[in-house]
Amino acid sequence: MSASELALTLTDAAAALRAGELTSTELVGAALARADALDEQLGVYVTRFDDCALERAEQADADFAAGVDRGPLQGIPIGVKDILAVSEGPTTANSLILDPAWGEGRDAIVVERLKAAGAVITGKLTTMEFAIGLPDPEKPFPFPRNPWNTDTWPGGSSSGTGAGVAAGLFLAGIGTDTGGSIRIPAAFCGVSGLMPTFGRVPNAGCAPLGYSLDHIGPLARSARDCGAMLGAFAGPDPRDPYAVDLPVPDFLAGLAGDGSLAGLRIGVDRANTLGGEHDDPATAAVFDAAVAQLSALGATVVELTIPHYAEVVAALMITMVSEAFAYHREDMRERWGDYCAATRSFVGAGALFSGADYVQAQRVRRVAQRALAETFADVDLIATPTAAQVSPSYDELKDRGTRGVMQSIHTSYWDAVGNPALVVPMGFNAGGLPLSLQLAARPFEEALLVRAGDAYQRTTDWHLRIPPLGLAEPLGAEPLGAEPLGLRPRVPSEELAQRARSSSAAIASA
Amino acid sequence: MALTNETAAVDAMLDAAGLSPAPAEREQLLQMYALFKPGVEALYALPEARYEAPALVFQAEPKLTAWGA
Repeated sequence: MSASELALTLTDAAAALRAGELTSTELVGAALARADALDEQLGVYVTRFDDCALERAEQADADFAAGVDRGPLQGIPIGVKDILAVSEGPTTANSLILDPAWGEGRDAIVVERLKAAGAVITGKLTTMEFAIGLPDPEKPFPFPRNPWNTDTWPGGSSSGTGAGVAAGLFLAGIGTDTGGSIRIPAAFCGVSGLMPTFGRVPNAGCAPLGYSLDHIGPLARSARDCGAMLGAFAGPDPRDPYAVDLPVPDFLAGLAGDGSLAGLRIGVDRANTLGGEHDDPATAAVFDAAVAQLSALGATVVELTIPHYAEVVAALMITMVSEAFAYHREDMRERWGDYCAATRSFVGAGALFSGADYVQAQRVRRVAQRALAETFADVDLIATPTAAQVSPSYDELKDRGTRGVMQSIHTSYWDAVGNPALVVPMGFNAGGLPLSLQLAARPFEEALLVRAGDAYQRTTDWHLRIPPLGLAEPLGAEPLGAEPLGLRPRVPSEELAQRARSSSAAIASA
Repeated sequence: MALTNETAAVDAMLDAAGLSPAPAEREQLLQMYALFKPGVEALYALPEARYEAPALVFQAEPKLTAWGA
């Protein structure tokens, strides 16, 4: 494997590094070169740490040469969402509001652990402001775009992480998920993403959105890669009062077998997740094929209905905006105009709920947890489409609004109940945009998710497909995955900037 | 009448919170309130929640270490 043929998966790259086929310096250099070529179009990075990254890559190579092996992340280029503190640079949360002194010179716990595992952090990645809302062209932050079609939204709020993994700017990245912000960009960008159980990963050093809902987790090409990432940074820490004091299993231990899912029972909920007005016509059939594949792998598939679905989705929204508003109220009073337009709309809505409404939402979350535990007494996993639609264009976002689009997205239930959920690519719509399968498990059973996702990905290759990067180019002209990463001609920056301004201004005015 | 009440409620809550949105933003928040209100009422209507304790945890003696300490 040459440096110009950047490995697709973290797992492959880790093997190549250990086989002496590739050095971390070459790997990181290739990733940075790809960012040089593509990031102006994609808006992935807020800040790059090229010099530090190359120094850490050299250190990783020296460690390999000395026989020091810190695990599968050693020497691997990894990006971090810009709401986690990284000592090499500022944390902005893509906001003019966050005090630059917050987190200055410090690492979030997750970042500390990534560094201890030998990971090479290449930079800080685009997010929606404080992990909510939409990009705002009036603010001085990169405008994220989806490498499958740069007229479309890469999903949020971990936009840069999803787009960057898909386009090969790094092999894995850190996202956060409060209502779907790991799984939505993973789905829309055609990669894998894992939201761990609430409390599995300590949040200290991450700017909050919803204190009782925030989950830090990985995005990467494959479920196996996500398991490798999670193994490096899961586990309790006294600096996070929400972190759960449980031992961390080896999330890759279950992958040594033959990939059979015999003995597993998987519940499928179509009633709550399919049949909406804005469903992509391909979603139901692609989802059926994914479920058939799980069945072919030996799983027993049963139909079910996720309990209290609508109520929990409402409880999530009330909880999220109330918790966010508590954090932001004073700044919103004084600096309303410094917030992005969509943030003002979402977080400002936290003023419209009472304390009793908030508590009632927490009572409903408990009701749902009890009911869901009964459901999980009968099944091991629950499968749904991650979203019933593909990545919307920025024009569609303008027309339907974020809340309209969210009606077709089925992630937020799992944030509210705290169970872990894995998403993996499951196919494409007629326009060549990715569709995604979501699997949820009992609390702290991330290893089972990784095992099921890995089994699925051993027999499918959707997660290995490569996005074309031309603006709005049709994808049907060439076989998907036929093209090496990042070799499309670049769009003139002036044209890109103009397109960003026009589409984003329309959204902001909606 | 209901619309007038909702408008008054939203204006009062925004005022109490000290927020001063532009007219178009106030209109958005009004729409959002109308959108969310049935969902909020549905939470109170859930029979199973009648005697349920909220998913809140308070520890009298928390084990806290400040991040960065």
